Amino acid sequence: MKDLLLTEDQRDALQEMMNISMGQAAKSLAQLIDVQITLSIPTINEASPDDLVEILNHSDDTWYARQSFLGQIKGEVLSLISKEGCDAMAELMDYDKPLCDAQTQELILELTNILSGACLSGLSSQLELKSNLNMPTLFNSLTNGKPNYNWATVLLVEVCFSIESFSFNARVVICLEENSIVALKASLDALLS
Amino acid sequence: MHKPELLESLLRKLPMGACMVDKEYRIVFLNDFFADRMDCDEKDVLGKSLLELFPDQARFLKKKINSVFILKNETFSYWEQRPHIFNFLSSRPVTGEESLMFQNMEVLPLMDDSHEVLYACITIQDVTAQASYYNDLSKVADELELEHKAQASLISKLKDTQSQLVHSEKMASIGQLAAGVAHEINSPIGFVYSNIEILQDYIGKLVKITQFSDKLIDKIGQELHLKLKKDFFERHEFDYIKEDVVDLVEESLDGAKRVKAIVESLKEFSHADAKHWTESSLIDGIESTLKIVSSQFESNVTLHKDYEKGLTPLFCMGMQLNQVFMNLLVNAAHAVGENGSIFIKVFSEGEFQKVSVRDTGIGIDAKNLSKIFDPFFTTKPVGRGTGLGLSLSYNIIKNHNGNIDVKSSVGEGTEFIVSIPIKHAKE
Repeated sequence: MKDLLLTEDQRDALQEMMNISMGQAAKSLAQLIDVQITLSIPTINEASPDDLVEILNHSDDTWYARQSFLGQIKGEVLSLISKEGCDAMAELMDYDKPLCDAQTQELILELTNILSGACLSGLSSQLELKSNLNMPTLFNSLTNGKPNYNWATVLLVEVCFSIESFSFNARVVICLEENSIVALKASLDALLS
Repeated sequence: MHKPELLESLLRKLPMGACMVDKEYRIVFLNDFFADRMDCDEKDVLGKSLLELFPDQARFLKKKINSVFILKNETFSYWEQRPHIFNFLSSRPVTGEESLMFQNMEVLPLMDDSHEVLYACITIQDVTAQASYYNDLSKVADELELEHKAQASLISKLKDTQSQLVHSEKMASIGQLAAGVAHEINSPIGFVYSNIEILQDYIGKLVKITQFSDKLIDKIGQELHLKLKKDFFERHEFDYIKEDVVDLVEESLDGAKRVKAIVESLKEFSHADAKHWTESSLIDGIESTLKIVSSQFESNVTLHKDYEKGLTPLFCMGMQLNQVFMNLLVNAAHAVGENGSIFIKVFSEGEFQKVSVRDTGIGIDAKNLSKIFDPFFTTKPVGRGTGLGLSLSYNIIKNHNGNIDVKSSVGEGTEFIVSIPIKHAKE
């Protein structure tokens, strides 16, 4: 059985790194859309399938999107984007209003890509682990039942973005699969030693 | 061949479009796929602005390229949201039905050693085949969905029809039963009733006769006879019987009268009576009915009438319609009790003349609403309603090819709307 739990030191180091890199990401984001973005402190948790189901449980006021990444670390980034504030966001990102369905989807996918990209490149550049994002897709949240996942543990690195002036918020969760957790731990150890 | 040349030749021959631009959106590289679809030579467009070459998508491309330079991350576009970024012709000019190529786009940052973005590389994937297939599939899915909806509505219609059928079947069998019962009971209750009437007269006389003999014995004043009389009367509780017998007969007469009334209703319900079709006015019908039932209204109940002027008389069974109005008005009177309002409205709407009877009474419980037209269904206290009024009304209105509708909410009141077709009320 693989040891998938992070030690306290590893966790602290990862959190600190994420914090620094997310700060940089927020800066470039602010440059792109010209608005002040508030970031939460990144949280790091091991999660079971039940924990993930809780995150993906359906809520009417949220858009759900996911984006997979491949490379030295693999997994998926989930974005939970509030429907509230999306119109204001569209304006900032130079979309014509009112948004039609396709444009709304494009906006959500664009936001997902920007936010996931910022988070993932933060993580991979600090740890010197290469990984590439694939195309983002929208998906339906879970409305009933628990899917049959074929894993027992994933590592969730979560950051919340918010823009207070129009109550927009987005939850970005990087999910690392088991082999990548091992790679991550090795990379953290190398940095700590 | 040297390695970089090999790589460049691979890049040129890749089965997907690749186009590199600098920060100013100027084209610095174009592979064969891209140049071929643009129908130009690479050298003719090198150094030109991509935005000027594709003015329709300039705003979108500018946004995408800027984001790559600023965020140093890839950005994507998917055919479903934006099918034709570049106006390239379809890759299936012969067998395909679409005229433009469906494209997925990914814009990649190309960075130098100091992690600065030098160029943005636009890659285009031709997904025409998948997109067309997906579009066909969704079309089929839409058609299926439509069919499914049509089926569902048909099924619900069927269910409605079935329940109507069951209802009318029930009404018909109850009608037959009622006719039978009415016929059987009618003559015995007739003689029972008239016998009790005669009995009432006889009893009165008998009591008088006894009182007379009582007085006679008193007048004669013989002690022995007086004692005998007193003893006899006491033993047979004459004083009590004398009073009770009158009440008993009266109650029996009352009961028999009620049974007669029920039998009458049953006869009406089963249409034992002849049907007279005549030209008559609904307003006249309402007015004459009001004369009969006004005694049912408590003094604090106000009556509001709203009759449309110039309504033509209808060819209908006037007496039967009056029966309907009477039922509705009596029900309204019972519903409002001591305080409230009753609104009567007669008006025409489309091919119907309508009578609305609305009250501000107690309303009908939602669970009872489906049963109110069922025979023998009543919520009134025993003896006050037969449960036949509304089912009788329902049948009468159906015989006119009309409708009777009800809206009710508990605590607010009830409205019955009777609709009678102006033409062809009679088949």
